[in-house]
Amino acid sequence: MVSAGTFHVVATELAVGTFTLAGAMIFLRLILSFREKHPSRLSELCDSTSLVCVVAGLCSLPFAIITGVLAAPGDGLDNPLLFNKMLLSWVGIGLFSAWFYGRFSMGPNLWNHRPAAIIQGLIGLVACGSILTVASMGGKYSRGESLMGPMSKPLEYSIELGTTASILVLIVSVAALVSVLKLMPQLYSIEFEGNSLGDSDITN
Amino acid sequence: MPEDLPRFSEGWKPTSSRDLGDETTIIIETEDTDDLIVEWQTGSSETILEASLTKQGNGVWFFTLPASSVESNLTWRAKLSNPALEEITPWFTLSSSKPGYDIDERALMIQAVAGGILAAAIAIAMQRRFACPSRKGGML
Repeated sequence: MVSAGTFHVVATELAVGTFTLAGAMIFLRLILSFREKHPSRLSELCDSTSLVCVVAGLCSLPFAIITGVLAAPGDGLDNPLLFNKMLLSWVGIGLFSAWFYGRFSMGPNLWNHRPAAIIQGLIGLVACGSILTVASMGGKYSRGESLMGPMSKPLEYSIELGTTASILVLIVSVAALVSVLKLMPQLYSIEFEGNSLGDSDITN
Repeated sequence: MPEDLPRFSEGWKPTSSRDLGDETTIIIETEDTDDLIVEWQTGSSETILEASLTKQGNGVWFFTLPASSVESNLTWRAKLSNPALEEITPWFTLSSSKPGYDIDERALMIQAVAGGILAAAIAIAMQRRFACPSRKGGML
């Protein structure tokens, strides 16, 4: 029988790979937004690739989390690194879900509107950063070294809330999300009216 | 073995491990012992130090070993004596290690999901507050 650890490797590589590609595409699309008056084929490719990658990553990340918990040695999550990996993974899921929601709601023309492009790019890059941090912590846990070097030191400590406090935080978080969705102005599909970002005439 | 040989009480067992940063108080129960000396040393040093002992009651003594800030071994031994005999114990090892990390997985999962939802809420709030251009007349 194939162990959870083997599935974890597959799911992790799928999630980290797709999210990394998404991050690269989001970054490139953001840069191109500042340079182009009209979206080029490359811009459209970046946009659609990032969208597909985010969806693929969001589908594979829960499997990576579940198999990671099952594959943890000993009695389970007995290391602060694993604790922080779990927290950051869910933060990544939350941010990429928000990114997908924004992209889906505002449409591909969001990149031609300065505030939308910056906010959307920022959310995507922070989400990608959190997933890459999770991946780096995996290396720290399994091999004792990480690309983050000394920056990974704070992640060796964790702030653990008890069950009651966690439930309270969950209630507050859900209330915050519902409030945002119900009370704040809805996002809508942005129509192309010329690029408010770029100054050059790089067009397709 | 002489009947009046100074010795630890039957069933007494030494503490062998502790968490980093914790002082350790060891209680020794003895039999046929009038006087007791405890010596200790760290693994990295050959200097032998004497612990300060307090007699608690009939044959019961306690002493405190200092805390360790790094993962290391500390060894100690006791010299038990009465007017007739003296007995030196072997070195006992007391290892210091990082405190065990144990977490309630259900609490962690709830905390993690809450963090994810909160991150999504903040990101969507930013999108709704700053991203969309002001509409030019009505809903699209």
